[in-house]
Amino acid sequence: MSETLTLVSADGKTLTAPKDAIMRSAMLKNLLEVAANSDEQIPLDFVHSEDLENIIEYCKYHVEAEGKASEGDISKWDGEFINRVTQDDQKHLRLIQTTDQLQIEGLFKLLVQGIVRKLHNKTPEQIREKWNIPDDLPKEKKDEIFNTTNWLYKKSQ
Amino acid sequence: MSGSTYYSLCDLSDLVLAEIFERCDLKTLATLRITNSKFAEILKNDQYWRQACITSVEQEQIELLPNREKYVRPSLFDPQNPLHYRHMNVFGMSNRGFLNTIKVYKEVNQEEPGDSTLDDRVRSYKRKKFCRFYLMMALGILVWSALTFSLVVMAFASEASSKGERKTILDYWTTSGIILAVLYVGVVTVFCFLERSGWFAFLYIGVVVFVLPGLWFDRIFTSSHWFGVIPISLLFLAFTVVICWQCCDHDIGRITAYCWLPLIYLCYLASFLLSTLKLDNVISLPWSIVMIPALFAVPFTSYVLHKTELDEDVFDVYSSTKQCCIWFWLAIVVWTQMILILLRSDKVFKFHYHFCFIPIYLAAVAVGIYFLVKSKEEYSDRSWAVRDRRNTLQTQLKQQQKERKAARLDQLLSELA
Repeated sequence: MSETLTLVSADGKTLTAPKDAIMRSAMLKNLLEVAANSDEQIPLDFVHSEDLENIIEYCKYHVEAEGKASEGDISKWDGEFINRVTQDDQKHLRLIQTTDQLQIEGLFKLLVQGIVRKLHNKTPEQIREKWNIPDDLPKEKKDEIFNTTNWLYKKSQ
Repeated sequence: MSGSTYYSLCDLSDLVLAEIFERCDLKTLATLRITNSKFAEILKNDQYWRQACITSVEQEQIELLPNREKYVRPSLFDPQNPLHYRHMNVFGMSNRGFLNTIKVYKEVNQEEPGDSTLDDRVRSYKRKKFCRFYLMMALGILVWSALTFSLVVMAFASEASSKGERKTILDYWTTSGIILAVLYVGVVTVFCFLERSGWFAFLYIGVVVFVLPGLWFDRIFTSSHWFGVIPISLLFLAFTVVICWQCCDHDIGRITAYCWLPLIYLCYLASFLLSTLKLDNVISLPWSIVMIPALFAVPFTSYVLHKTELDEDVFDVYSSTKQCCIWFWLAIVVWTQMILILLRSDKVFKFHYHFCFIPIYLAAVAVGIYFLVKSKEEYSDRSWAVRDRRNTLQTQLKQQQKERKAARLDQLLSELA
């Protein structure tokens, strides 16, 4: 039985996770190496409990699958996992920020890729609406920039 | 971070946004750039575009690339347009040049794998490639020159002995030059067809079919100078400018456009001038005056092309070279035309033309060098500005990341304590 750690989310929820799974986070790994006692709870006041659950699930799977599951199986699981946790755009953004702060490289890349997929083939208006982005460029500026790359929107011969 | 906070893509740190933008394709980047000012600012950094270009080609999304030239081109020659410099840095070249560069990247990765940076390897690869190219070109020109000159001398010798006429060295040279040009342009035409560059081939064929025969006949029927010279000169000038504009993406196209067409043009003007002034036999001084810029222009232009190609960032080539060469040649051609018209209109000038030509050619050369230096300086400043900006941004981002991680670690340690 591997050693477990207790993590406390920003909304006060306490979750336990295997230490080797937690060590997937470069930030927590540094922290544990420097000071933390595994008997104590680790407060993560910048992590929402829902994100923490997802992160633990991801890390646990990857620790368990390492050396046992094939690349294909891991990719398939990653795909399903990302599809599930990024359905909500707001939660997707929050999770990407959290993952960045916790420095979980694999998950971070998957989440970034998810954003890129969502951005693909969207118009500026759709992107602004979807991601709550202010429309702060003057029209003249937009036209000016657009004219430099409008060849991209033309149908090729 | 509470659950009720409403997040925006703009709220993500620059590092996270950088990770996202690095994975976007060209179209998505272009869309993001007009979505928000923050994105527009970040996307001024050409590394994202570079990465997207490479990714697009690697994923064979070539359909994103055609037509680009058509829309980017108009601003290329407008230094007042701030987008001018943007294009130079982001795209820096037209379609073929871009594809060539991608090809180079791929070949470098295959042929010169190693621990050095990609840019170093590309530079080394291009150096070898260009040395090979120039060597082959020099050898080819030497062989062609020798062959055509020998043929012309033999033909004239035979003709002259049968008619009892006397031919000057200028006749040999001019005729050799025209034959050489026809051969050269013919080879380029075939090459263009092989490369499926229909547009370029069309231009070259235009030169072969209309201009060079015109020169030939004009040379033979010297009495029709006014009838033949002006339209032919204008046509040649137009072709030179158009070809300079359009053919700059290809090694042979550029060499032709920058060096050989103007050189042939100058040869032609020289022969015209000398025959007009009835100085065919006095070849030494006017010939040398006319040929001075042409003679040094060939190695000079080649050197500039070569140097720019090798020293600058792989994606930042062509622009300044193209500009300075066009200015250089235009200056020479325009001044030559003007002085020719002057000379034609007043025969008195023939006694003083030495004094007219020397300052005018010096001025033309000075104008060319001035624009060359100016263009290089601007280009260099711009290149460095982009690099500085990129380096500064990266340093800042790394610093911020380090500070943020340290702060977070301190905070957690204090909470645990």
